[in-house]
Amino acid sequence: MNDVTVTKFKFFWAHQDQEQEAWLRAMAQQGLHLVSVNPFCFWTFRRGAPRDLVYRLDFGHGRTDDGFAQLMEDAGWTLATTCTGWHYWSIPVTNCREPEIFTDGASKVKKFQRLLALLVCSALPAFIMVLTTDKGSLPSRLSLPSLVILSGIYIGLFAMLGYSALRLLLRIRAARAPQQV
Amino acid sequence: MDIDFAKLLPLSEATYYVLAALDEPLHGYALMQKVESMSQGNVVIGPGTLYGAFGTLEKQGLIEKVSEEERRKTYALTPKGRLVLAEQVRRLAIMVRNGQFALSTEGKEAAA
Repeated sequence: MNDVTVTKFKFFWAHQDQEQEAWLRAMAQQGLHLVSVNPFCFWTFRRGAPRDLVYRLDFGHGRTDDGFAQLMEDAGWTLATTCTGWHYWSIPVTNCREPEIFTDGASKVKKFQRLLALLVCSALPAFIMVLTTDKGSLPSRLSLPSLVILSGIYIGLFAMLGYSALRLLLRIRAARAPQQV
Repeated sequence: MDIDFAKLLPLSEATYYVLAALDEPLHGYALMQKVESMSQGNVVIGPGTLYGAFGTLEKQGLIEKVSEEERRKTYALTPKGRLVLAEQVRRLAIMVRNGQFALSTEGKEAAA
């Protein structure tokens, strides 16, 4: 069965939904159709006929939200897969039209706000833990190398989350901009 | 009926068309198609945007759910929604007249 599915590793930042959409479309044009993706950025594709499919990512809209899924299906969309709150929808390109799920600034802003809330919530427990840890006693409990590695992991984690959160805030500003004119 | 027009108006182009299309009860996809054809292709509303608009307009009492078959909800305009749409149309008519006047005088000056 190895020739039927292909697994690839490709990393994307949390704010890179458009980059993911473009990459998934390029893969579909090569005949690789998204089956699933896991949180560690391993993408599984099924090999088939090349097709021009537009992929769009939605964040939020829980699985319990049947009305939304029905509306998407009515409009011709197929849910390829779901991963940590992301929904990967696809639709065939017809008459050169590249459909969007969100067509105005306000609803795009809401999508990014849902994602931003999750980013902040996921970082919060670790952040509080770091703040409340008695740092004075750490050197006596941990050796220097493990202390350096541990701090490195935490600093790296917060830097990544902070960077993505900042880029998301910029996307929110850009989505809002046209309406303020 | 006491309506806070300042809070509700102006409607966005998408919201305006959602209300205008609901002169008959419609479910989501039928409404998306109707808006595209009645706006002569100028306004295309994506399903995510429409779903959010349904929620907001229902909360504001401008539309109401009239039936639900399988998972398809059908909405219709409420009396309040009709009044809000009427006020928006009244303001737009003034805007259109002003715009047409400005363009016509500009045209005459250029011709003179």
